[in-house]
Amino acid sequence: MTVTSLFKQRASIYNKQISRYAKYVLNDHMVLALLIMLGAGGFAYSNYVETVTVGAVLPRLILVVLMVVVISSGTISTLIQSADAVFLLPMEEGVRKELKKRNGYSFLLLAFPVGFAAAAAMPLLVATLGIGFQWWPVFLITAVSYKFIDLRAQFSACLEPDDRKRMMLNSLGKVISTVGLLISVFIDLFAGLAFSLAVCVISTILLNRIEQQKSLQWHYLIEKEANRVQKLFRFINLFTEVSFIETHPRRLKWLDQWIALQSRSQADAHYFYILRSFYRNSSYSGLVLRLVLIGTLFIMFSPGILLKLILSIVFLYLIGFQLIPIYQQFKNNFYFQLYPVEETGKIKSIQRIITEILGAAALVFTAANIPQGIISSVIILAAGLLFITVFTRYYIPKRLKRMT
Amino acid sequence: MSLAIEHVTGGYTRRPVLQDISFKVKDGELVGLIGLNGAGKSTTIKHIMGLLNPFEGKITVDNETIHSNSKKYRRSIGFIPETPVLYDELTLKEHIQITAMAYEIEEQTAFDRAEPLLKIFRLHDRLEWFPSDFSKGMKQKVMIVCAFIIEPSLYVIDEPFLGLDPLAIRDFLKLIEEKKQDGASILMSTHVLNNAEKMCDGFVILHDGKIYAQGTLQDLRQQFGMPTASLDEIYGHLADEEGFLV
Repeated sequence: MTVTSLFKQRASIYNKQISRYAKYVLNDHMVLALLIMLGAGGFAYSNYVETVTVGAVLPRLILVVLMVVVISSGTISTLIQSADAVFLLPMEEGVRKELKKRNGYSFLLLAFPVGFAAAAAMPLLVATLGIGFQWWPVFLITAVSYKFIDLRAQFSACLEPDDRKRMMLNSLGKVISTVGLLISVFIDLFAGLAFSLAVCVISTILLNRIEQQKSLQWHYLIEKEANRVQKLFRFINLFTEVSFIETHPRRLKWLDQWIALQSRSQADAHYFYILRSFYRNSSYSGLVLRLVLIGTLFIMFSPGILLKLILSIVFLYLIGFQLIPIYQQFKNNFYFQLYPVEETGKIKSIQRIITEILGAAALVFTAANIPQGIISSVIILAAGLLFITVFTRYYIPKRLKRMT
Repeated sequence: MSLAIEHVTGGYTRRPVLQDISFKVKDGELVGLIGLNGAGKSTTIKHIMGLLNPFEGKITVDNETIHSNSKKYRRSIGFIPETPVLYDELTLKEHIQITAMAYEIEEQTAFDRAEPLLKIFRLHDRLEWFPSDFSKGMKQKVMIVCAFIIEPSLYVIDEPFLGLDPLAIRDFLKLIEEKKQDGASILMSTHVLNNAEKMCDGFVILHDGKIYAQGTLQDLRQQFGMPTASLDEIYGHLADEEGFLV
């Protein structure tokens, strides 16, 4: 078996796995919610673009920030496994070649979201720069070439033994794309394109030269790949059960007081555990935070009480639905099978925590609407609470019973 | 009578791993569960813990089965698994709290019981840490602490010596001895035979899912016709026999 065939086999297993999970992630509920959000977002965006005048600065700054976020997200899927540091160590040359290939493959894949973002940015560029739509390929190539630089530097980081330099390499893409996009958006699209292509060539030559004397940093590679896969699986785990999930919870000491306060009213082992899991496991708390934030923005900027009402319910549903898999925390070890406690406590604790979280989210969504008027806010709050009651009292127990 | 296993046949799927197992662990008695890899030690323990259901036979702890009174049954057992299993999201302190909660022990009582144990195992200054970040030996110590604060009538201990430093092994053996004096029954599976020989009052030797021999060291010597043999030698004899079978 050669290194090449080994990586080919891994890639086919990985791809099969991902496409199997993709079916669960893009389920009917999710597609519907995405369509509604995409529609509402597109509507709000087009309304917004109409109000923007040629030469406006703030919209362009926001655009640069968003583009940099899209460009710098996504890393090389190296498919390195921890055992490689033992078994493949003598075949480093071959592994390095494979990693180069993986880098190219990841670029092809990650260029799509960047291209999509660049296309979505075009109406705003047309409005602020006063140019024609026909120039979209210029901005597209610019944006995609920054993704190329980002990944190229990330690959170089895999060979860099020094922590600080590695961090610099990893943020190189961000820095260059920020500078370059500022040139594109504030000076000239063509100047930006020229800059991006020049940097592509120069960085490739320089990094190639630097890399010659260096060897792979196995532990970094392994950790990086494990993190990437974990992130991906944790996301998928929100939709379906993924068995390889391994969490690295954060201590969040500053939350201790709050957690103690929240769990004070009843001493129950299930709730005790699930509450701490929620806060310390960013796949749950981070997700809720993100969805609440996005929901708040959508509600603030969408026109009309009806749309706001629909959006607030959609987001409450999304948050609640995505939180249901927290139930699987109980399966992480066998203690809840050994404890002398009632089995029903599991479902009760999930109902309680989801009620509390959705309640807080409903309050935030209501607050986002308060500038629009008190009456509409009361309606949003009342509808939210009604939804929470139905969702947690009737839907969750049914759904959880199906999961057991 | 603390633990009684009567004619238990069981396993994971329909194919039985254990066949007609019967033995007892009396109050104040330490029984060593001995056997080669794959003999059925862990499967036996899983049945006792109620993680697996026997196809046939009955397991009682303090005269209750898991079906007659599951709460009381579970509360009577403290379990230390072979590989430490901990909550990733909970600190050491919270492991003690959740144990107290689950076994309905006053939190203060639990901490009073835990304190000397934490001191012995040099964990008292790590209460705010995630034990999942600890070394294997330290994780094992956390498991020991959590099992001991329950003060159960039966301790089920699966291979406790792996990963523990010599000092910790010594302290652990001392703790076991104390619990025995207090009248607790202990079932311990292990491969570390000289420890077992020193500590255990009786032995159950499993082989291929069946009880190959059981009793005190004297009984075993007689059974194997090796009147002066150590447990190690008897075990070696068993291993040779298996080699012969293969």
